[in-house]
Amino acid sequence: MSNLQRLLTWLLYGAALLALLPVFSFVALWVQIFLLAGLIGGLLRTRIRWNRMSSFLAVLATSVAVVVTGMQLTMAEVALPLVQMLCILLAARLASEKTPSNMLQTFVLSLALLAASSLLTLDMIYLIYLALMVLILSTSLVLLSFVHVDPGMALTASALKGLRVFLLVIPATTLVLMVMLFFVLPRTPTPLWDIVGQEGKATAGMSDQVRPGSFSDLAGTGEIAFRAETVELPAQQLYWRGIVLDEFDGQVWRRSNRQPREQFNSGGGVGHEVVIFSEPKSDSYLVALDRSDRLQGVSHRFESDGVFVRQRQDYKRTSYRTAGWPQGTASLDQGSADFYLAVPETLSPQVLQTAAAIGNENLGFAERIEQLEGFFLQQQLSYSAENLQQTNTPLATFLFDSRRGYCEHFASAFAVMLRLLDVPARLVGGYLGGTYNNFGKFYLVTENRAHVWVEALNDKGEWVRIDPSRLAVNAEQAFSASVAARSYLQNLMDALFHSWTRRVLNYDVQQQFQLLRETSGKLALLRRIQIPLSSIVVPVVVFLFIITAVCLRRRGTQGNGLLHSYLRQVARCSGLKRLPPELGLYQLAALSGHPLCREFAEYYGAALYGGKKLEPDVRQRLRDIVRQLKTEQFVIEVALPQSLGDNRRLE
Amino acid sequence: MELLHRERVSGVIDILSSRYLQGKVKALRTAMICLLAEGHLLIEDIPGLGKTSLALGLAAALGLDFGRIQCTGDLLPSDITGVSIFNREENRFHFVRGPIFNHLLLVDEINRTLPKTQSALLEAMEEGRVTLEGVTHELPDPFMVIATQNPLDHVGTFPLPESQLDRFLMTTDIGYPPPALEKQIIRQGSVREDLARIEPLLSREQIIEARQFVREKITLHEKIAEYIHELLQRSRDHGTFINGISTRGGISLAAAARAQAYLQDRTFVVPEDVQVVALAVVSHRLELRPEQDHLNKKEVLRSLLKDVPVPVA
Repeated sequence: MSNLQRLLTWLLYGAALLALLPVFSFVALWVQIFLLAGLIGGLLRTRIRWNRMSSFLAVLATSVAVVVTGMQLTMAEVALPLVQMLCILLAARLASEKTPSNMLQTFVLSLALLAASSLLTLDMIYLIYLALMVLILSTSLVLLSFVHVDPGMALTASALKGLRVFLLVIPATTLVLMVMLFFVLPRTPTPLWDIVGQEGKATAGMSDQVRPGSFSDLAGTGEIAFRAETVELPAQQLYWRGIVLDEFDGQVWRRSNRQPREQFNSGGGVGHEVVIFSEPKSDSYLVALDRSDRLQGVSHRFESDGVFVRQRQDYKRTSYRTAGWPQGTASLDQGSADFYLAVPETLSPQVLQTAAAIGNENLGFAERIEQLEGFFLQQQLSYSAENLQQTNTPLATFLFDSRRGYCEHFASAFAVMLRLLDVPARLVGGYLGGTYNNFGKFYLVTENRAHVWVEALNDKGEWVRIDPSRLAVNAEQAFSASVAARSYLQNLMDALFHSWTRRVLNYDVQQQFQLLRETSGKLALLRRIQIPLSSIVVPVVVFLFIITAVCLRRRGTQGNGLLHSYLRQVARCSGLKRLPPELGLYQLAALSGHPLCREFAEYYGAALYGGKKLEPDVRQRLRDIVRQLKTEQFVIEVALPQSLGDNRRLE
Repeated sequence: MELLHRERVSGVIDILSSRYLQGKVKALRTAMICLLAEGHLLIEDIPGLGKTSLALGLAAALGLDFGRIQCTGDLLPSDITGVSIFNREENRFHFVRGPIFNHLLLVDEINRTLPKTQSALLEAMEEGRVTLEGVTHELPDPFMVIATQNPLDHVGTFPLPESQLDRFLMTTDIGYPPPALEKQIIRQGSVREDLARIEPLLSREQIIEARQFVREKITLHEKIAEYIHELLQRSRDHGTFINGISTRGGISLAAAARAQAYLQDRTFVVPEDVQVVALAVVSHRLELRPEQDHLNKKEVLRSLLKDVPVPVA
């Protein structure tokens, strides 16, 4: 096996490995075994004697496997069977003999498999796989073309070195082209064939109903709920509003579908544009900064209490743009406040008594809130999400018995008490806070930041946000504990992942248009700058002139470079540091007595002094001569020519 | 591509130097270059080393007429060119051609004759014709003078002035033959008889054609012209010589280099051709300054050649 073939075999296994790495964990066990068998068969191929029977069996096994996977192919399930089929074919080709055509097929299959793997997973590492694959493929194709012509061809180290630049230029150009095509290839606003991430995952976190005391333990997960690109905001404004719950039946807060009309007033303050990248989730409520009035990017329904409900349910990463007004206020239309005053019949007497004790007809909104907060503080309630009692009267248990609970307890108790005090109130579910990522300029909000708070209607008919969980005696510890510090590296990785998702995976026609707009905007800016014609023409002319001069010079020195390398070589052969400048080519040839030198002088001298053009083949021959001289050695006694002859010597 | 008649021309040199004129290859080549470059040759050497044999052999091998003038102090121009004699029967003057009306003219010891005669000879060499009593007589074509002079002889000589020396394309010496060869020559005696029997290897027409070919078809690249000019310039700035090489010297260098290239079977001149012919072409045209008289002119010239890098780019 020549060194070229060995190199190609290594490249082949490299390509196959690159293609298999992303998909190996996805495919079925028997396919994995098949792959390993193929790989081992290929590695041992030179050592095993294959008879007719075993190759027939191998072909049969491959055919059966392909048919079996092919039968799994349905419209709903395309990706995995396709990948498995490719895996089987690749395994078969790995095991087969390494002829140029088989190798080519293996490379093509590897490429196809890597492409198909993007149907299953699209991690950032895919970029690295792709770049490596391009490198391997372009190198292999060049080498394959050699092997195809002469299977026994062996390249010398210097020849390989010469090829190196060539082999690097192709993949580099390919990658640049790929990046360009990535930006300009037409995209659709929605994926044509949506396969990635079809399996939706329901996550714990914000839910569409609040049932205080339904869990004994609330172990929030650290999974990411969403990322919100915006400027850094004050911590007290970081309420991410998701759902509004307005009906309570004694056990569960629900959302009715009869929300009264409200007017939103942005308050004239500063609005923040917030772009939210939401992870796949099972509910259809779109989270936005409290409070937002506009949302773009996802088809949705804007309900009057400021809730965005997604029109179409799909489990995939979505991104949308919202306008958040932290100073904004929403005012309820006159006469519909009663809707938010309904309390269930089944409230425990203790709660009713307490409300009656605080309640006073003459009190204003602020005083009532103050009274109620005073009562909560007086009760010494503590925030806890563990070892909670499960009872039929969760609010009474929370307020008077265990005095421990989490945000749902606090919020629903507070809201019910407010309603009992004749203050219209409702529950808002969403997320609190977030970790700001300075690299990516976004808030990272995890599912364990899910939160419930209360909105109460003040005397002016405007909704005011109240977070009763802050009334817990251990509020500060509880909230700070839930925020796990993220390391520098984690932040960096997260920012990288985010930009990968944002710039690559979610690159769609909208972003394309935006890019186009930005580019054309910049172009228009350029056009606006008045540039005199001469200042363009002159540099262009100068540039062209320089290019031409360089080209001509190059053309002139191309032969010259050849001559210099020849002279260097001759100097080396003769052990001279430098050849005397008075020695011409012919004299050198005569002094060295070497046929190669004579040939060089003949060809090159004719070009130099005879005005002949150096034809490419002659040039090549001259290069060969210089190369061949590398191994030569001879003596040169420096002397000027005396070929008129010496009378004293017999000729 | 075979150059016109080159095979025959080098055949002349080969045959003469190997069979008849052993040990004279340098002089032979120089003579042939002079012939091809349409110049004249000056041989500087002591008598008895075979100058006449050289000229005779050349004349015989080239199929040319041969004439010889032995210069003496009383030689008159008319002894060279010829005289008009009154023919009584026809009652008019009849021009009797002198030895100059030969293709190949050997002028022995040219420095022994009077400047007047020298000048008449050199003028004829330059012009290619002789005018006597108002009548112009064309010299034959090809016409070549091989003059000799004894460099050691000073008594009773009229050394050729520089301006006259300039008319010779090249100078050469003959030197003693190698001992073995000399013994052989001593044993065999003179080869004059054999020389007379040489069959011409070239015709007169072929010589004319070859000369034309050398003049017109051998290219002298601009780089070579620059190289020659650089040589000229350096000789002028050298400080060892009274004068540098003249422009005619440059022209002569080029012409001789062309002939050398032709002999080397090349259609173009390379710097080596110039280097090869340089000493023969230039050395008699230069005169050392009196204070540098102790130097060897040829060595100085060689160091001059060494100082000029050959054009390679």
